[in-house]
Amino acid sequence: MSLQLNDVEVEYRGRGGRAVQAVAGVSLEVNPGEVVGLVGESGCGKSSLARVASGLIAPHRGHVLLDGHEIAPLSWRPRPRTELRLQMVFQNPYSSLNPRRRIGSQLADGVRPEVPARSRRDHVVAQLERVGLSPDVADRFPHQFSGGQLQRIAIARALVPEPAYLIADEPVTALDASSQVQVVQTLTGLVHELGVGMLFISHDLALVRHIAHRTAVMYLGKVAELAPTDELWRAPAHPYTTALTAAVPRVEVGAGLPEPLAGEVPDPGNAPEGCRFRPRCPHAFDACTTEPLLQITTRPAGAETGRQAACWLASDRVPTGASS
Amino acid sequence: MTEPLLRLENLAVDLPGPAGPVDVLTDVTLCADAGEIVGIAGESGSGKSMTGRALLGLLPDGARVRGRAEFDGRDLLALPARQRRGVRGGDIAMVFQDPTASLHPMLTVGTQLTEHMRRHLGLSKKAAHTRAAELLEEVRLPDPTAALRAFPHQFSGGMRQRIAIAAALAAEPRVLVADEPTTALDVTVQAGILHLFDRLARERGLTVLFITHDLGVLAALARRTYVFYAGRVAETGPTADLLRDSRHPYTTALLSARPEVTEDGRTVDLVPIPGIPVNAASAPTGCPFAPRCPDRVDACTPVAPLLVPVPARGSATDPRHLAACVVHAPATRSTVEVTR
Repeated sequence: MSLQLNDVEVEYRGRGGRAVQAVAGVSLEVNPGEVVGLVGESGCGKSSLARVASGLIAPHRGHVLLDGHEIAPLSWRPRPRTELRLQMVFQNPYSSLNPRRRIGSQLADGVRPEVPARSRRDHVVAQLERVGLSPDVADRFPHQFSGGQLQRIAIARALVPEPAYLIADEPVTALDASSQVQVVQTLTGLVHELGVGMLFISHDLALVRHIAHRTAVMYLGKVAELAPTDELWRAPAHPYTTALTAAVPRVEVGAGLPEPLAGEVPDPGNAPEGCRFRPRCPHAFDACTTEPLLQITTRPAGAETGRQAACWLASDRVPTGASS
Repeated sequence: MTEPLLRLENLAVDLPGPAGPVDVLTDVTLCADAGEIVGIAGESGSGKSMTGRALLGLLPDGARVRGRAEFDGRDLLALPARQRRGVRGGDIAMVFQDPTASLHPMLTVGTQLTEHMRRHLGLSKKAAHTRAAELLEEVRLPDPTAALRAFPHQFSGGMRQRIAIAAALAAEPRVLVADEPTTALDVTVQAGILHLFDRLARERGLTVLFITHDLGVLAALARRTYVFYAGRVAETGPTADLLRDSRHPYTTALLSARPEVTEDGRTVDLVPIPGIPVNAASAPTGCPFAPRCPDRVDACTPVAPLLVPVPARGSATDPRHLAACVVHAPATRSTVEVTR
């Protein structure tokens, strides 16, 4: 029982029919009651991964499995009822709610058909209360709320079909510090209380550090490192993870300016040969012209088992001599 | 002590609203020395951007401004519009959050950079071109000569922000108002831009007002910080003092609501700030933070507290550390005299 991505690829057609691989083969699993964080710079394919995982777009290759069943990409047909167990929370609550319908009415759309008509409203109100809002919210319109409240309404809407998995794509990025923590706590509460599995996508590494059990670091369409969050921060195995964590500003006195990472994220339509991080990597050596696969690593020493990194420095079998 | 290069005194701004004027800034007093990076922190609606805009005269139509905004001893608010235009973009320049919006998409980078220099410095076309290449070099843009012939869309977000900073530096300003210049950027790119501001302040003696919602960005960058809430300054002082020894409950709440990762990788529990933020227009009488404040007392509500020096705690309390809080920084007769 899990939400599983098996070697998923997402491709977009650019101008002139040129294919751009936004997600270039990602395998990831989200278990019930677990928060999996997904971090990376803009353009690394985080949001494409969120869209393919939630069935909004079809994978070019690979499979997305919900409790063992492959999910069908969204189309004009209603979704099969089993797929209602997978719900999404988007970045911008202002554009993800219909401005012309009352909250209660639009949330009731998602109530399961077996719920009798007279208790549909109670069901909606129960979800609103779960995210810390009062029942009278149901009778109001989206413009009457602040961003933080709207995001909680969007979470309540995602909860109405009683999902087993939630995909949250930058759910607090658009919010002020005041409401960020409230929304984050609402989301993590669901994981603890309802056993929901959550894929939490964010560019805010410090936030992911706080809430994710495991963290996947994505670079240019691939997972560079996947590890229990504590381990990942304590001793990053991939040089890209090291660079990302060093760039996070800290409020500690005397922490110094955060460290920049030289270079730019390459164009995914023209990804470098071999290791994709090689052109920006301070440790690049001969072996890096061969692409390292994401594999279980025991480095750095003492690393917890099951930790994965796509780096020759973390591997026992380094290719000898440069290959094509 | 020498006079600060920039001094705002009791600055207040209101905007026309459907039911009469709406306050956006109340009683803001702020100063910055030459070569100093000053942080302005706050949430949306706190008035932090309005402060920067008021300084440049970039306020919306119908805005009324009271108080003083002194630059190098001259009150900008009292200057005739013509002279003010010379200061704006000349002595004081601005960098915005979204570099895409601040660069013209159909003009080359070279045209946009040289336009400033020819207007404000009266350089010839050729001299301006040479100078533009130097500026791009200074903001560490790779291959400056080629960049001058390129259009903004050919650059990444971080590079575009470097170009926008170069454009702001074109007329050799002494003050740069940077309004959330790194908010739209990735942390890896943000770190590079922070280093750039730090270097410009140290090497050129540039004064920077760095406006941000992220206290973490200011920790290592700004020597002093002003924390805004509801159009007022809630607390100010050396940034290190605010982080280590915050006195205003709002600053303390902001710090505990921030996901923080310490050197050894530990996390500290996140504490939400109860209630929702107010702006200057919807603020209650008295202290605007009172309805959300855990330390509220009766004295908080009748009048808004003055910004006064915080009481000493240990020997290290800096005299520039001020807070507007009757509980944690009570105004005694002597402090009222100090602040006039």
